[in-house]
Amino acid sequence: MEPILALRGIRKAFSGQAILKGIDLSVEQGGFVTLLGPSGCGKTTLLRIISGLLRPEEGKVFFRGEDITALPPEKRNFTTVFQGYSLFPHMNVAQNVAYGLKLRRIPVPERRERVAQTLRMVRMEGMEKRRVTQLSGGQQQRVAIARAVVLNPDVLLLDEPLGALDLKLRREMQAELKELASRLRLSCVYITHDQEEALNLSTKIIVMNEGKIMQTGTPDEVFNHPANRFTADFIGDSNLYEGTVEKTRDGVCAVTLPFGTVFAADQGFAAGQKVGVCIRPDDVELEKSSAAGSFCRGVVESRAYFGSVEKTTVRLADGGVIHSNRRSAGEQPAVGDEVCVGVSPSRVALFREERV
Amino acid sequence: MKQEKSFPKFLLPMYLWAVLLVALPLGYFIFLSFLKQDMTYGFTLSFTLDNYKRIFSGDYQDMMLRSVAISGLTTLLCFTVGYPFSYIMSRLSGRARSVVMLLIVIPFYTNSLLRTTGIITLLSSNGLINTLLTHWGWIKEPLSLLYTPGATVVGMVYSLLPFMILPCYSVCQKLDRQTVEAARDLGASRVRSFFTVTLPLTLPGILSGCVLTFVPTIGMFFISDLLGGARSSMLGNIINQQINGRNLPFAAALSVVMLAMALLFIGIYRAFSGKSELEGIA
Repeated sequence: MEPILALRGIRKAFSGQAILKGIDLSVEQGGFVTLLGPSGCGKTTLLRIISGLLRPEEGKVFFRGEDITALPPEKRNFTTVFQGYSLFPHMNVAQNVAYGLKLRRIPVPERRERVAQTLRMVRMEGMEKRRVTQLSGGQQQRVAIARAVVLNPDVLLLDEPLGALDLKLRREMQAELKELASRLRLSCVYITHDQEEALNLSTKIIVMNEGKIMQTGTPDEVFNHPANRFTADFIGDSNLYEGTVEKTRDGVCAVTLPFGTVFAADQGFAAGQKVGVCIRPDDVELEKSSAAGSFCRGVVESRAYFGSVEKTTVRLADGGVIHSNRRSAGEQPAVGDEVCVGVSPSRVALFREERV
Repeated sequence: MKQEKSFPKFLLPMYLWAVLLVALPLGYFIFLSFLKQDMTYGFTLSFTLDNYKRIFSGDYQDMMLRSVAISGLTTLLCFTVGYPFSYIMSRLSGRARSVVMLLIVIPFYTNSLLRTTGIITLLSSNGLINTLLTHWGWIKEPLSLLYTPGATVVGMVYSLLPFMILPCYSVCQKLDRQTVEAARDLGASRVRSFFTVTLPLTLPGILSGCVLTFVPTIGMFFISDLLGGARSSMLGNIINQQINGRNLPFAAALSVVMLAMALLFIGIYRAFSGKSELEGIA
């Protein structure tokens, strides 16, 4: 199926400094695509190019196969939920939501009906007459979403919409947003630097860094099969090492690390190849006595309590460390204890180590 | 009394200041406006409403209307020039902005009589504009630009433009550009987003600028004296004439009318903006 939105070779620079260095991406009808990356990676610039508020220097934007690169924002039926909401402070809640409908000359009875319906959807009914300046952050957020969604946009763009909310509200809104997007079958492009949010909401994650796409994939792909060191490091906690592929046999690949040999599922690397190794702390098992799957020994250096998890840091033979979030089966190892470190081969991700 | 005990002493100079320099003079000329003229002593202590009757008798109607018209036109022109200027200025980079700000403020600190005299050298029959136009052969006879209501308006716009620019600039600078982008994003054209978002959000500054230009122009007399000639004398000029002609009570009555007009205008501003203080001044 033809993607609803496609970007080809997008480049943009501000005062000589390249912000986007050739971006290709596509959004499928009904897809929830997240642009994930650290601040300054160019994701907001990319979103503004999609909305039409910015023109790319090079490259094209396609909507259902049609080139819309030169189309001004008001001619695209895309709407944006801005970071910081940008509600109209001189209008009340209902006027804010009705703004786009009014521009589209929707007759008053229908306009009123759609505003009421959308406000109900974001659980803001009865607030129509409130001034937006009197609303809490979470409420302003809902109005901003309602204002964008009421127009049945072809693509809904969201620029870190939950960035200003506290953790609990953020989780709630995440769930609501997810539900809303799937109920209305909205095609969304979502910006965040919060990897948990990205993993939870998206059908597709685009990991960006310094104006380039580092990896595109489903949440499972980018989390469990990072394509490079940046993605492995940026998404989730990780233990990252450099190693050399020793041999591959029966779908299992042996990788030599400075402190031992770890087994991973065969991921198409040849013997002798340098690879990056990513092991999530959630998969690292620590046992007092040598158990199956353990590949090295170390000494427990510290333990930190975080409520639901307890993070253990183990000092390894070569002086490096490995982190574990798992609880041991029997007695918990104490600081100073010697432990065996193990990991299931299926939980070891390998990636090509880019040499800089 | 209890109240006097709790009265903070350090505020005393301020109250003294207000009473001596504001309340007393104000009370004095309002009082004066109800007295009779006296050629020898200036006024006699006998109550009369004649001064006010004379103002509203019809003899001064034209002058009043002209005053309001010239002030209104000045305000309108200041807005037409000043608002776009402020808007563009608020979008300049920091350095360029401070240079432009300096260019606005320098004439502002120059003696206004001097600046008005400067305009005479521009507009007079052998002034710069006429000389150039004759030189290029566009006109045969020099145009009579000086001593017209138009010249008064030019002079006033030139003098009062900073009073329009500063408050407008202040609101334009505070304007969150993303709200304008939000309007574009929701389907508004450039023009539409200006009228539905930019203009309403900068309105407090515009109104404040209008008050700050309209109110002083009503009472300004030296500009119309120097540039306007006899046909464009304004309220301020008449007051000046009456003071020189030793009719202090009538001058006082005219001043009270002028004050009332200014207060009325500020009242309109308050009603529109819902604010008690002028935007962009504090």
